[in-house]
Amino acid sequence: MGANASSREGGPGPRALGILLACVTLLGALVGCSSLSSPGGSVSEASGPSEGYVLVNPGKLTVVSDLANPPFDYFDTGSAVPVGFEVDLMQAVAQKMGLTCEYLPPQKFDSIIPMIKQGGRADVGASNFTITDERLQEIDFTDAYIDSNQGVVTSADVADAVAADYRGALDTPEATLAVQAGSTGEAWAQENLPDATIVSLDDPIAALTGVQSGLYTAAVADLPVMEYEVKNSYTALRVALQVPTGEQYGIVVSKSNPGLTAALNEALEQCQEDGTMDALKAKWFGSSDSSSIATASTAGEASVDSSGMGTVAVSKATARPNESGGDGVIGGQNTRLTWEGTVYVDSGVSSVRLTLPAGASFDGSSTRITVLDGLSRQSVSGTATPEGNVLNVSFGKPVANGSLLRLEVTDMRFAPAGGDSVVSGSYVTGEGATGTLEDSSPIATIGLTPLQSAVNWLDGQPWVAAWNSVPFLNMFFKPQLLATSFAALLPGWLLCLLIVTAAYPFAIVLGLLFALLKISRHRPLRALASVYINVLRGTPLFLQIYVAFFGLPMLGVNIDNTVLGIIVMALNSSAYQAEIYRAGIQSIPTGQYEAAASLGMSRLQTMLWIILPQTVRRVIPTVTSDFITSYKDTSLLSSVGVMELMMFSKNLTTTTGNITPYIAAAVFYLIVTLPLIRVVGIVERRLSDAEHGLEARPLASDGQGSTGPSAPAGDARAADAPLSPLTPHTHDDGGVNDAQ
Amino acid sequence: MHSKNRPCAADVPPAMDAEKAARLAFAHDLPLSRHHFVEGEHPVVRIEHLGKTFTDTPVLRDVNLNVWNGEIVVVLGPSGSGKSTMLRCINLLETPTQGHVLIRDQEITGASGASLSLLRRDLGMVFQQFNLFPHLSAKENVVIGQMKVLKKSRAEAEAEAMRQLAAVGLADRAEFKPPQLSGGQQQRVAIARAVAMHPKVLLFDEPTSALDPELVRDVLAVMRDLALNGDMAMIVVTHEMGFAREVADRVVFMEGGVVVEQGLPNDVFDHPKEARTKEFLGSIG
Repeated sequence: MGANASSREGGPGPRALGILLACVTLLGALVGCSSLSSPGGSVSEASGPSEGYVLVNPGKLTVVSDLANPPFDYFDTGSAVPVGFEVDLMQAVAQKMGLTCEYLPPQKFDSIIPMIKQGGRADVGASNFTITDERLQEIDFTDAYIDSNQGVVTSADVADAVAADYRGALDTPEATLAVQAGSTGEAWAQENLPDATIVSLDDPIAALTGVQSGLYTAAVADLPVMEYEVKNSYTALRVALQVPTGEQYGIVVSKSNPGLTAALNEALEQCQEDGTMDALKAKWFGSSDSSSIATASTAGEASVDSSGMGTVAVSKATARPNESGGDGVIGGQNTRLTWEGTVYVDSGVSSVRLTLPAGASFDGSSTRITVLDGLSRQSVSGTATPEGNVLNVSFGKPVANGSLLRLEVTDMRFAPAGGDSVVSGSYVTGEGATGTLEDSSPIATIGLTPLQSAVNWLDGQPWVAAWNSVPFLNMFFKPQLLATSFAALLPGWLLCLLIVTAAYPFAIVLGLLFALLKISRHRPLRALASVYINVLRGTPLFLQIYVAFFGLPMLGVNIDNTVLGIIVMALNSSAYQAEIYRAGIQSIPTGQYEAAASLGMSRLQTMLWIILPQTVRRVIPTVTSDFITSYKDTSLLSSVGVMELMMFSKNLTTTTGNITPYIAAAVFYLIVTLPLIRVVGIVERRLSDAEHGLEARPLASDGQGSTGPSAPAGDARAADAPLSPLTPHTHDDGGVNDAQ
Repeated sequence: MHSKNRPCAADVPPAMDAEKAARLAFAHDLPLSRHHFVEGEHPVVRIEHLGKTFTDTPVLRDVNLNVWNGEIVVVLGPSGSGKSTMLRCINLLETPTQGHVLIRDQEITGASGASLSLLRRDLGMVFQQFNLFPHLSAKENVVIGQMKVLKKSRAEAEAEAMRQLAAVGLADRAEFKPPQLSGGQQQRVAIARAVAMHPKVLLFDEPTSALDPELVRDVLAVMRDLALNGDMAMIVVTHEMGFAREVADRVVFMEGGVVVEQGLPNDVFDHPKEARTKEFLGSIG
């Protein structure tokens, strides 16, 4: 079925093979079809991309997920079989389509959308993907299959403080928030808690582990996942806050496969109609009681005035950062405005009018309307009419009293000059009366940055457009993104350099110490050194990082992340260097020890003045290689939230869905490693030359009776010429030698 | 100062009283050496019942030998006779398994740490493979021992180093690194390095064996110069018969881990008493 099979049939292979293949495909389709009547499942319909859909593997719906979101999709303890609500749902959907459902091994969350976009490995992504406008630019979503919200999890002792005033408790640089890279939780944290330190991790479970160990203050992730985990695994933690985002999950499908999206929607609808969906929801979620949890944007007191007019309490107005590679909101270019207000009007609100200061523009924007009653999403339709800096939104039926109204206006622009923008406006009640909206708290925006104008300039160039029309070039070498990546990754690169250059001196000293212990005459010291070296060399650095970052906080030892990173890198590298130094020391011939001893030198003097200086020269190439390794290994620290190069590039790739930031990161790594690799080569050649007597010679007086009076001096030079291809007049072409 | 390292100490009599040993040695060696004996002098090196066994292979069995101040002793013998091991036992580069070595009546066998380093100051050594420090220039090779062990100032040490390098004809190679020097030049630097420490005894362990024949001459010339003009005792393990005959005060012939015969060079070379000596001299003659 689909492109793969047909292209193989069209190939030069023997006809028999083609027929065999067709039979097998047909058989597979028959076996997979439990209900032949289901649409989209028949062989004929799926035969070509124009009328049906394309599958990566014929007869199979290949699903990719991060499998780290219990109870949606996860591995049960000790099992390698994916389970969960989404897994069951995907199986049901596949069945209705006459397909079998197959899960790929888990992929990192932020890599799933790029993977579906590129195609070839999986048909759909199902991993609690919230339907957002940003994602819709990259891929298609099926219809939503479940509503969701975000939850903030903290340890039980701070939960009450967070519930009472989450901005006060969390919107400070001291608070570290763990989120999943690329998730709506991350976006919510960035937009609503701009002062907090946000750490993007690969999966929400790692975030919870970090909160439990004390490494992070709080974790923000999908509420159902958080509730499930807090109830079942992380019992010392509490969901302190629920954030009513009213988001909905959909299945991710490639834009080039619209037939599949349609078929999936049909299957989802059938699941809805025949009760499968409700059965699965009951099976996996039961009846969750989250009424005891505080809600983030509950708008203070509802003051209903005497006129009965009521009010709309504006609880929020924020803008999505649109600075390429940065977190500023730049005026004059597209961004997304999120405005929230709670309706306290008996008759409801039938329309809302948002006004921004002059210079801002809603023209060309699209508006998403979300209405929430508590945590449950209400179905409200409406139309938005942009008029310059004013946006009129009228609703199909009035937004009911007590519900939260959220307007997300995509592709609007703030005033190009930047500055603080306040959203004001008015509303019309269900009875036709007009009220004034309170001013929102100001949104800080900035003017155009030089980098941003460079990116905008690139946006306008025809050659850039031509370049980007090639998928490979666009995905890996997008010029605009390269420009922003270099700027955005710079702090991460500097942190990498700081970590490795700070760690290395300690690593050298420790390495030398343990090398000397390893060759000590005392057995306990040798044993100590062996254990240290073997444990650190025999376990992955990744594991050591996890032990240090998650283990130490549990012991109540709280060390700054960067400092701890330096310590772990230093300890790890020291073990490798100890072996390098030990091997270096032991490679020095015994004759050197004997010569030093015969001069009356002590062991310490021998080591200090004879052995170590020779060792240092011999190990310089190996130690430089180790330095290169350590420098690259700082990337592992991204997994525990150290804001180094890899972390920045990962975040940027997440927000852009493009690989170019990784390429920029590669350039930053190579800037350091390539020259060092060259240095290693040069030093190795120099050392080899020196050992063969080929290094540049000092000026030697050319005879003329300058030597001592002793007997052999006169004829010694002629008879005693060194075994070297260089003439005694080496200094004449010293420049050549220096260049070696 | 008795050896802690001797596994069979009970088999061997303790080191003799210094006065008695000196009297016996004097009487024994007087007819065997061209050395100008002075009444009442003590030997600078006393080797008593020295034995060395590598795992199960005995290399030295009961070696007895005295060396006097300024005396030039050349040790001959076929390879495997134990002569190099004997030399290396003197400054404890090898640990004897029995017997005693005394330097100026101080026992070195069993010494360790600071006292060993102190005794080694009296014993310079020149190795078959030179063993120069390759990271240091010729001059620094000669300087480093003086500064670190004798605690001389840099200026003093450098002046002495230049004197000694000039004496071996290598003043103009002072700044060269060892790999830039020929084998003969390296060995002469090594001799300068040992002499600059002004030891009482210089040990030469086959100093010309690793050299190309045309380079041997210069090294032997330096050694001859040292023997004739210096005041140090020299124990030279070598195969250079001409050198032995010309320079030695005494020739010692070893074989099978014992001293087979010793005496004046002319006596040993021209009228060997022992059959094994004759055979050896005949084989190389």
